[in-house]
This record gives sequence, C-alpha cells and structure tokens, in this order.
Amino acid sequence: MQTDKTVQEDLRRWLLGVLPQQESNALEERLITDTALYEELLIVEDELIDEYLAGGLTADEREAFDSYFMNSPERQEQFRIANALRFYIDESKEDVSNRQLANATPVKLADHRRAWFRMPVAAVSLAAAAVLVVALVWLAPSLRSPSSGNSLSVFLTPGGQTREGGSVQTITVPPRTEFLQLHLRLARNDFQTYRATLVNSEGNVVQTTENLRPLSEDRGPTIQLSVRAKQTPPGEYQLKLDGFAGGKFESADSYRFVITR
Amino acid sequence: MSIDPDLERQKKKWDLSEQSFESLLHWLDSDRDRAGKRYEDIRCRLIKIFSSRGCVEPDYLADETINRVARRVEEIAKTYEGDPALYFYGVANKIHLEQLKKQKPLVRLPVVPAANDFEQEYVCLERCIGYLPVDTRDLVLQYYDHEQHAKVVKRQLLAERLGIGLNALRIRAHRARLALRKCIMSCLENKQASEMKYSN
Repeated sequence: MQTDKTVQEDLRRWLLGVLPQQESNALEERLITDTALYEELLIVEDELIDEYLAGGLTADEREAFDSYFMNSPERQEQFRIANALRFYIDESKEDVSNRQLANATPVKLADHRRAWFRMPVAAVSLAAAAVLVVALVWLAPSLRSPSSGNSLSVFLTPGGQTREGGSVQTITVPPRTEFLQLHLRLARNDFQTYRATLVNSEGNVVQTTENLRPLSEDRGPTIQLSVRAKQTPPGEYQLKLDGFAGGKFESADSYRFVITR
Repeated sequence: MSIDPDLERQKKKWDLSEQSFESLLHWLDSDRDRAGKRYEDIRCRLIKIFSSRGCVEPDYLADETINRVARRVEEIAKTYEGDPALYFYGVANKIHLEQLKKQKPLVRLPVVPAANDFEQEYVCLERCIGYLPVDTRDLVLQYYDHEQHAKVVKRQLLAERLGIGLNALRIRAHRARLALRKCIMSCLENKQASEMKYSN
C-alpha cells in the first residue's frame, strides 16, 4: 500500500508531467473515482505553486513547472491568486509590525503596494471638496459570513441627497468589526478605472487602492473597496475618488464621514 | 460560409436532450441531488485530467466526454457494472486520442504570470477575505505564512491549539483556501462582466 508521502510524490510528478505513462494512467483512474485522492491532488497543486513562489523547487522541477504545469489558464489564475495571498499575508504582517511602532505611518503600506503594482502615480490632491456626503450605513447580512459578524457594509453617496438631512454621516463601528466594505456610489461613471485615497483628518493617507472598476448595483454603478477597521480609528475621514483616463488621474468624487466606536 | 466556433461549441455543450440528461443523472445516483454533485465531481476531474495532458480546451473536452456518455447512457446503464466514473474516464481517453490524431498537438507557450501580475486578484482577495469567518481567516493567514523558519513551528502550534493533527490541519487550511479562491474567481468574473457591460 502506498504511503501518504508516496502518493503526494506521485501526484507531484504527475502534475509536473514526469510520471511514467503507465503510472499516470493508474493514477488518473484513481483520481476519477477516489474523492480523498482528488482532494489530495488539489492540495499538492497549491503546495507546488507555493513552493515555486518561495523558490523551493529544484532546477528540474522549476523547468517542468514553467514548461508543463503552467500550461493551463486555470493554473495561471491559481498562480496569480497564490501570489496575491502571499503578498496579502506579508502586508498583514507588515501592518501589525507597523502598528507596534509608536510613530508608524500607514501611508508606507499604500506606497509599497503602489510601487509593487507599478501603476501610474499622479500627485494626490488633498484639496478639501465641499461636497455634502451621504452615507447610508447598515450591516448587510448578505455580504457577511453568517457567523463572522466582522464586516460592516457602508454605502457612501456624493452630493446632498441624504436621508439623514444632508449632514456628514457618522459611522459607528461595532466592536470586533475587522473590515469596512465601502460601496461608493458614483455621481457619474466617466472612467473605466478609479483610484480611491482615504485620508484622515490630519491629511495622512490611510490607504490607496488603485485600478478599481465600477460594479453594477441596483442603484447604479458603484465602486467597492475594503478598508481594515483597525486602519480607521475614531475621527473624520475623506475618501477621494480619482478616475484614470488618458494616462492621468482626474478628480471624480469625494466622500466624507466620521468614524466612532 | 464559416461557422462561429463558439456557437458550435455552445451547441455541442448543450447537445443533450432533457431525457438523456435525466437518464445520465439517474445512472450516477438515484438521488437527484447526489447525482448532481457526482456529475460536477466527474466534470471537474475530467477537466483536471485533460488539463494535465496539456489539452488546449479541457472544459470543452470534458463536456464532449459527458455528452458522448449521455447519448448512450440508457444502453450503457443496462449492462455496465462498476463505477460510472471509470466509464467516463474510458471515453475521455478515446476523445483524447482522437484529438491527438485529428490535429498536431497544439503547443501552447506556457506563461508564468509576472511577479506583480495579480492586482485584480489582490483587490478581490481583499474583498473576499472579509467575508470569511474570523477563525477561517486566521487559519488561512497563519497556515500560509510562508516564512520558512516560522512555518513549521507555527503550523505545529496551530494544530495543537485546534486539537488536530498536522494532516487534518493541512486539509482544513486547504478547504479554507479553496473557499477563498472560489470567492475570488467569482469576484473576477463579476468584474469582467461589469467591465463588458460598461464598455458596451
């Protein structure tokens, strides 16, 4: 009987296209009928990608990975997602260590990400926009996992049409909330992509998210983005939305809100 | 006049009568829900196999395999003994051979995405990770921390804290990652659909 390690090794060789034909056929027959083995295959596939990204493959394995394993759009997508996860984990750790430093400047994270993605960067104008901001805030059960209770959906609309009488919306963030899911309603949808810059009352950039694309929601086009609740302590914030066109950013909308706990 | 290959493909994909499809499901399992799950499982595995053989259109070949089985399912069901999945596998082998004979194997140049080519995925990941239950998110973030020195110790501690073995932890982490990936894929599809909508 094959040990777990042998099975894993066979799957790995099959994925890299180096398992002999006869063994491949036997393995495929098992894969199509054996649920546990199929799950093992999916795990080994992810582990192989992670190892590649960590530089842990041998030269031969790397060659087979490049020339055989990646020969599928599905795996290329899997690779991108694995890379994004790796980057996200690094960023989370960096975030934690930054918070441990007394005078940490969160802007570094945004800069780091911006540099990584090599997106065009325009100067960020922080001129205060005299826009009445409407925010309709509620916990949206459909957007949260039933048991988590840790995402707060916030709908922000530029302009003066407010249910709350036109004042800047106060967002009360419940304890244990980890993410604010911001839904920014667009007054006009003139751009294919947008950049959102969240600025605190001291003018420091808390987060910059680029290459945001409008999504279609019931009440019109909306930009969605996630902000970690821990990045927004109580205070006043401005979220500036710039549209990208003709190789440069142009001011699109602006949203203001106050966070309380 | 040339025929749009996509239309042809779609037609082939849905080239199953209601009756054939029902018979196919019934052959897979007398319980309709379980049969549906089995159908999906077989399709996913066929895609993986075609994909691993370097086939250009694994989805299409998997659907073609299913269609062929479905067309003859009433006849097959009367005499075939054993796991139906193996019958699909046999048909898949036949289709693969036909493909190899029909055309020169298409060599696609593999493309390893650039190191920074994951911005869309990252945006979706940021969104999707917020939908995971806290415990699941912590599990993903801790288990897949790739720092070489910390990894082994972290996983050991994590397994101890959860009161499970390392292999159970590995499976649990993978399932969480799979759920996250599904959410990301769906987010990416929505983005593409939305992009198309706004560009029209």
